[in-house]
Amino acid sequence: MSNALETAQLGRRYGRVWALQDCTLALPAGRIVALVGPNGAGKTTFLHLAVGLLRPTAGSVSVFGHSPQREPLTVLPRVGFVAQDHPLYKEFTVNDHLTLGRKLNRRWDEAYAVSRLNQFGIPLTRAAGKLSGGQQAQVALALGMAKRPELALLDEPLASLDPLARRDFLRALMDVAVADGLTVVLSSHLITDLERVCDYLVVLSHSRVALIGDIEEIVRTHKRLVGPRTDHTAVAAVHNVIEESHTARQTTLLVRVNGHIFDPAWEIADVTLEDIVLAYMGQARASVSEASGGGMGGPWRSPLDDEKHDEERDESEVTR
Amino acid sequence: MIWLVWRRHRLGILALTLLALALAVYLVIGSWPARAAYYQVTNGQSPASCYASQSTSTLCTQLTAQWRDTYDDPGDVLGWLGILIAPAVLGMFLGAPLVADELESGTQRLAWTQGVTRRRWLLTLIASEAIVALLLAGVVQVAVWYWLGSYPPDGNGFGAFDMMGMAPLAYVAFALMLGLAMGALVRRVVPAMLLTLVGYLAVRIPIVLYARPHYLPPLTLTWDPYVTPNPRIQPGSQDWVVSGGWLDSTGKPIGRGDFFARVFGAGGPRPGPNYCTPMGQPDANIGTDFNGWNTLCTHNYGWHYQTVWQPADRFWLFQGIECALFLALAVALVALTLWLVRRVLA
Repeated sequence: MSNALETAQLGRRYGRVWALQDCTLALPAGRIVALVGPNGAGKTTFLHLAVGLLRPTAGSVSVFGHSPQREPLTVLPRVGFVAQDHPLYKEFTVNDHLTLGRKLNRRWDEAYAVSRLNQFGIPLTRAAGKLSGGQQAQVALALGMAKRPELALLDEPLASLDPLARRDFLRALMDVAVADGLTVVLSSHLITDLERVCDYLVVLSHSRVALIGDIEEIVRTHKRLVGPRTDHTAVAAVHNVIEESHTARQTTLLVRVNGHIFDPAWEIADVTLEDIVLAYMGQARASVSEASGGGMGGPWRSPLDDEKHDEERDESEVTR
Repeated sequence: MIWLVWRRHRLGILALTLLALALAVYLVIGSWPARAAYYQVTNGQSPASCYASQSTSTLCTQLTAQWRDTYDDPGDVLGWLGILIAPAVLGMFLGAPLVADELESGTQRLAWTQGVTRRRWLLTLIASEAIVALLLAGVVQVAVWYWLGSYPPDGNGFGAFDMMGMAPLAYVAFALMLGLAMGALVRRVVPAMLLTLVGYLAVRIPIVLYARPHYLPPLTLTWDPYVTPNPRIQPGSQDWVVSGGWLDSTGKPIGRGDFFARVFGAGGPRPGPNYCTPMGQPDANIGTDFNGWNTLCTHNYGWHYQTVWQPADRFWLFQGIECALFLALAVALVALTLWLVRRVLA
């Protein structure tokens, strides 16, 4: 087991707008991956491509080495997918949903689903439309997990949950993930939601991959440099400057460091993951040509292309 | 999967079942008076026995005329409409929501990410709904068969083509698949239902009016009633007279207004050397009974009467052709839906 999910130059276009483009990445198996990006960055498109709901316009995607589109019977049973807003049949009871899962899946662990639902006190005989948002999310997660998948794709699972429900949801998810060695991909537009549970990060911005890697490593290798307002080309020659801001007397840089920073003029500080993510998103937005970030050696390309996708349609609309 | 269809659409299915049963009961009970009168014995004869024996006695002529006057043919408008619209209703309420409802509520993201392919999901749903629809249509068909049977002289043959035999089942299959395809195409339930109704009528009506008369070349008879008052070959009462009318000496059809102007002159019947002096009331459209009027007139004009018809023994052949046509359309719509669901919506 190496990679749960791999993509190569993966792209998807709606009409003339690219919702995702030139996405080449590999998600190692067994990781909890945060898929982060602003609204409309292509998160939902990415997840729908991975589960086979959408066909790629360009490139390819493979899940455990299989194409979700061409080999759905190989991929679908191994993937637990919870779509955005956790769609359920409103007039179906929770029990009806379990029946649906049982009838539509060869691999189905109903006892497991029931015990999960009981644990959260969700009445099995109630119509899904009458459950609270948090309960619906738990039902959707239970349905996805009762397939006993090897890869769970969860699209904005926390969006409709209050803080308590978020904690319960993530805790429940972690229990499964750890017990089963599951690979999980969680999407959100806020990294703070996911920081506590994820160990791998993909930042999407403007339909492209802006940052990818192990979270610990990302945090370790990004520093904030504060120094006098001087020319910082020397720093930029060695390290990758992600973000810079200037006051009259001071320059603040957020850099991905390559090795040590020897210049004593710079005061070096740690950065939070959130700041790093925001910097990468801002960098993509500004589409600064020198901010290639190439030092990462990552499989992604810099957002040199200044094509703007601000007008991109709402993702949930687009993926219908 | 059949469970899924039932669980998801059971209210609609129950409502449609009630409608179908109501229509069936209405037809059966509605035909009782005609049926009772048909077998009502008066002085040892009934319309039934008269028709059976083809008797021309005074009593029989009176009995059959009386029965025909009262129960001429299944002229019950509600019954007719019910039968003709029923397939469209099934298509609208059973077919159209099948895919459209999933897309509208976003639940296709749940259904299509379980362990079965979309193709299987769709085909099973289609099969389940087709079974339901054909069962309902079957119930109505039995009632229609009983209803038409209550009007033996007229209630069969081409006059009841759209209601008899296999054709209505093919209409149901077509309407259902049309609803399904429209749902996958427009992705909204209500517009899909409206499109299904419009599309159903837009296909049915032109086929009845323009295609069906030409499934086989019709038989045509053109004659001068003055020369041949009773041609040996004529459409029988069970044959389908597609059209009939007068042709002038060059073979061009004479319009109704033209006909009356030439026969009567402007302003109604009047005798005169330039006009015919009919003794009866000739009708440009009902022209095969020329007894009692002056066919010398039309003869002098050089007019011929032409009648075009499809003989009654082609009924089942035509039913087969029409069935094949609508079933082929249904299959094409299934293919379209599969393509939409698997390729366009992906």
